[in-house]
Amino acid sequence: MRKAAVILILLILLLTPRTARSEPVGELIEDPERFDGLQVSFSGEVIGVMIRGENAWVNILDEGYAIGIWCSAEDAKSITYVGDYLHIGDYVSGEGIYNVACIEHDGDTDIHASLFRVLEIGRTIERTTNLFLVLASIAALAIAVLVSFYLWRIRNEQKKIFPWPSY
Amino acid sequence: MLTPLTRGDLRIIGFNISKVAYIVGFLSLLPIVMAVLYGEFDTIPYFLICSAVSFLLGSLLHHFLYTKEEMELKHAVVMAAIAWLLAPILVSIPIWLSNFTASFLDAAFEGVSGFTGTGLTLALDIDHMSRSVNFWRHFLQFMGDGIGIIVVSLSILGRTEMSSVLAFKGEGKDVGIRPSIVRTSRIIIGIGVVFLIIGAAIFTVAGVQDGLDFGTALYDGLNHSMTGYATGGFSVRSQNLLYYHSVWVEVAAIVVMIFGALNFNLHYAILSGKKREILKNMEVKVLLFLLLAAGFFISVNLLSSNLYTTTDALFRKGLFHVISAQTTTGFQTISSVHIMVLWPVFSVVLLSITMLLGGSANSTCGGVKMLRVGVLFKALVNEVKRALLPRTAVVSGSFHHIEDTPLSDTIVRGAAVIALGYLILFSFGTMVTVLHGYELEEAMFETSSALGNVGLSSGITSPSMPSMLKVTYMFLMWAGKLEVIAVFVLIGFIILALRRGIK
Repeated sequence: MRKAAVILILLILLLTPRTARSEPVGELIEDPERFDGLQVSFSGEVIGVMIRGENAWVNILDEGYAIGIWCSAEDAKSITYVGDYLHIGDYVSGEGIYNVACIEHDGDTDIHASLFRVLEIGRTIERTTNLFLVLASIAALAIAVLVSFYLWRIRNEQKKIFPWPSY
Repeated sequence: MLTPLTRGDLRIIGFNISKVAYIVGFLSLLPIVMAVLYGEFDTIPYFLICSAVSFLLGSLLHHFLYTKEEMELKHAVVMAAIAWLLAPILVSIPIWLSNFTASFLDAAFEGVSGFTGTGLTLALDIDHMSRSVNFWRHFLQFMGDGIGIIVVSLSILGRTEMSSVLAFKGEGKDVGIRPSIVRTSRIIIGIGVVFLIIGAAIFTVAGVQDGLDFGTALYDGLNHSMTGYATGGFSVRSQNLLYYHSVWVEVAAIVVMIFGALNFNLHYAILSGKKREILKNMEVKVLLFLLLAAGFFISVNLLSSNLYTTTDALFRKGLFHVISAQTTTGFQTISSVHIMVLWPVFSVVLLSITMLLGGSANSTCGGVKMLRVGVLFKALVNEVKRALLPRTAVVSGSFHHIEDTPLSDTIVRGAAVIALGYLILFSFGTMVTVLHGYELEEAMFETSSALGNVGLSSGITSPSMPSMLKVTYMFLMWAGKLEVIAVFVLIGFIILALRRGIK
């Protein structure tokens, strides 16, 4: 019984496809030679989508490092939000082959995704105006205008009393 | 005998700087249009504060240092040096207030890098930066480096033309497009705006063609056109141009970079109907020769390293970066780290030299400049001829740049002095970087990039780099923009003032 269980576990391990390495994008960028050509897993926030026929480029951002994912256009169309100032992009993950200098894409660093899924749909960010800065900007503008006007008047008065020589 | 600056001299300098502050105050209101367009109302106070501070400073300088005295060359040189320090500090206010830099020093670094058209960046999370602040970063490069706002401000607000002519000289540029400086400024702005529109159009078409929506393509295109023409290199994306994975965007960038790298005088000559000038001009020949030579050697080197094995890859990674470096733009299609980790040392060193040599004189480029490289090369050939020919033989030379010019000792000396100044600052920057624990190769690369106002990075420039190094690179960017001499003149005046005081 025990023997059978061990054999079963070994069989499962052998028959299961090789699991992808789970690496942050930062490590892929910083240590390119270690991962070049390997199956890796990726995750990050979507910061760009560009459909190219049946495929698409999806740029993702993971802890300050960004990389392009080459996936199917269908996968890319499942993305709802792209990250920018007013949005947090969809959080996606997947697996694929990491290429430091992709031959198919003229030397671009990319990941050719074999698996791509949206883990979390992004959202709109409410950017609230900083009241202190609003007041400070109004005060600064008022001071600038008043001082400029005051100095301009003084200069005009002085010109009347002591006109500058004209050259 | 050397005479230190007097109070009267400082008054003239300060009074002329007030005009630069006024113009910065006025232009910093422009991104508010972007903020309203994109619904980023929270960013409006950043620009209002910047504008108010600039106007206030301008008014104070204008009032307390009011003078009718005209500028002389010494004033212009010091004025240019100070204005190129002050203006970047003023324009960094919105960047600092937006919280997309870690400190005011980083924001000031961004301001200097933007205003001098360098493109090295310490900005955090560029992909989430507001469009108005991002537009401001790009607009800085266009107005600072693209159209030379300091000279333009003097030509618009200056009392006479002399101040603007001298300010041109202060920045190390020759005035020669038209006799009238106001006309010259208009032509420079006109050329800039025309190329900005052309560039934005081709970037937008390329972006839409490769999958961007029209709005994004237009916004990105406008910004990249500004930084491409200014040979600045800032990008609205943290991946720079790699973001687009598009050969069309890269071709658009090459076109815009080359437009920006050509001499204003050449643009004007061609626009005036002298089309053959482009074939005869020595500067164009030297630029083309060096581009092809560096492109060839770097491509062969990259090919032999088996990193890029196809012609397309060699064009998009090898030649593209040579053009980006030579035109002192700094657009990248590979990660900064990968240049250092994956590229062979030969290519890295050659790219560093290319960055230091730069593009054309009187253009938006940094570096020693092609005109001087050509002059020095001709002088070298003449010296060799002199050594080989009999003593009685007369060796003379000339070069064609808009008009035929004899190769005089004065011209050669001027070119040699500036090249020497660059070498001194390059050595200084490299040593400071190495002292901070970086490898020589990456130190040379980053120093060339900062001093040549390029913006390609080996990865050293980051928010976590030592503050001392940030200040050093700010100094190099500033000195590079002023073509070195103005910096040495300013240092000379400071030493004189310290020793003899200001009278």
